[in-house]
Amino acid sequence: MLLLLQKVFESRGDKRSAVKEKSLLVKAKIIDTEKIRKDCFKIGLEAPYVAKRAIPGQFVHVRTGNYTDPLLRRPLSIHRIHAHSIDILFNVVGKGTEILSEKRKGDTLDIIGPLGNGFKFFKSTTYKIIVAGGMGVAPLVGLAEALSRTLKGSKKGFTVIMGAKTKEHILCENEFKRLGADLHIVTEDGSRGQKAMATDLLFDIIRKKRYNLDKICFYAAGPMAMVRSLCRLAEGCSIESQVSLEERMGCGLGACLGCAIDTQSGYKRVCKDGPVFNMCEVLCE
Amino acid sequence: MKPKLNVEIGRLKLKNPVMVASGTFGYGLEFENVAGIGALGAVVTKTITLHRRVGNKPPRIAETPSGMLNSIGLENPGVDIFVNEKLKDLSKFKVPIVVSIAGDTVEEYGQLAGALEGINSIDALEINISCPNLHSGLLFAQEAGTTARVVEAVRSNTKKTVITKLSPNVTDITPIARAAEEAGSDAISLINTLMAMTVDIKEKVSTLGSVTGGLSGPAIMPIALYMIWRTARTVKIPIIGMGGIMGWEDAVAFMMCGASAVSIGTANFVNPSTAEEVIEGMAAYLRRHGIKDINALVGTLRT
Repeated sequence: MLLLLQKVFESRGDKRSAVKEKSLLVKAKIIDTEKIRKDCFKIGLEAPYVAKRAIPGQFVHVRTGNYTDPLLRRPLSIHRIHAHSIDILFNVVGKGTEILSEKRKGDTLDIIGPLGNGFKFFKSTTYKIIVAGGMGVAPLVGLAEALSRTLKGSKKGFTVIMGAKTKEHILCENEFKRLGADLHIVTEDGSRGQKAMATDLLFDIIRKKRYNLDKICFYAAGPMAMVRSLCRLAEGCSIESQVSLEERMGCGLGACLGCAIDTQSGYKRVCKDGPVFNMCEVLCE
Repeated sequence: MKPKLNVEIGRLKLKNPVMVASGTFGYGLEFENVAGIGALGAVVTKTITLHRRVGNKPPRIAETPSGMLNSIGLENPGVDIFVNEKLKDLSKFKVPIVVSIAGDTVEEYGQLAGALEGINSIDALEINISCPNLHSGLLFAQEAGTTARVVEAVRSNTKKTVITKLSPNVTDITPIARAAEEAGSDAISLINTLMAMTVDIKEKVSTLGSVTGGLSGPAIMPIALYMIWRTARTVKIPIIGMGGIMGWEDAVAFMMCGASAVSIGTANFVNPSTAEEVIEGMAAYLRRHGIKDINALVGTLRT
């Protein structure tokens, strides 16, 4: 009888692991947690299949607790992609992220991913400029890492323009520096760099360096006001420019249509049609 | 001993009583990489209409304590694209398919039923007369007379099993459930979402673009249980119970109150394996209690 039971369990176990390999539903072990500053945390997740499949700009849909409040998963950008793990970087903005910030190394996290469309790379002659506003920096570090790999040996660089509220809010400066990016930082209160918005600085740089707009490809993420003013500028620039957008999400899989945003071509799902959209799709108003 | 899980809803034969609720599972394919679709009792599709609908103004969802609000507005590609694309994809999972339908008029419900009648891969129709996110007037499901007219229009155009999905936003569910039964509905499903809203006091606006929405999730389960219990004592046709089921214990409670089958809705967003876990959990429950047939559980609540 026992033997029989064991066999049953084994066969079920086999079946499950086979499903798991294909499934995007993953129990990921937390291998690292780090408090970056007040209310900002980084979590490293052991998730080989997610890491293998992920491209910069995609997200994971994270269940923060085991109970029904908060109920829904939280969509979080994949911050960095390693060989067998991924990092997420987030601000504590509510109940869900607060619970997440209290997780410890060794805990497991129920995640679905990688989900959505990531950033696309084009083998083109455009000059790449990354524009990060606030927490928008989260997916852009992974993107910068991938970009620097593709640009390796070509002598071509890329620019990162980062806007933050104050100097305390500046994130991932060293990561971008390490990748050899031409990094420019502005703050809203002037405590570091110019007192300006990221887009203001961007306009200055484009004017000074006399970049030809249609030879620039932007990659951006940040507050909607920043995204909109960038999209207005980008109207004349390369159609390769892309932006990562946010919206409250239900399923994260494209089924519930809860995360719809209005675009030039009607309502689109941030979870499935995005979160990375072509800039020319975004409504500037 | 392996307990018998099969249930019958009209002529619809299900291998187990656990379905996924309309609007929470898309057209099935979206869940392909996170759920075992073939294990489900049935898939109820996102509601389709005769013509494409673009849906409501975002934001379309908001979280509430143990619940969520939605106001999607029945966004769907229309019946033609549904039949030619979505249905073909869903058919490959070899799972019974219940198509949820909605119209602006009684006639549109009838037309839709007629348009789907000849399609063999569709096993049943669920009449959605209870979506709270369309217009400010009365829902068809808020009146016995209009409920009956819609059911009659569908019934006269289809031989498929007809399920009528009722609204909890009523003063008394019983005359409406009776009207659906008398008009020829094979089964009743309930509850749809409860009309609700939340407010962003900083911006002085509703958190939803369309101001009001429908509340779902575990927060509404006690209301669902009550309505199913009432309805089960009113009609003879089977009831498919839904409203906040998160696990097998909830499903057992629904069946005790009189549901012949259950649907998993909002939980699909939280844990896409919920339906499979409910099937396994209920089977184990029956084994533990020596119950051979799940139908023996229906309506066993002691009062």
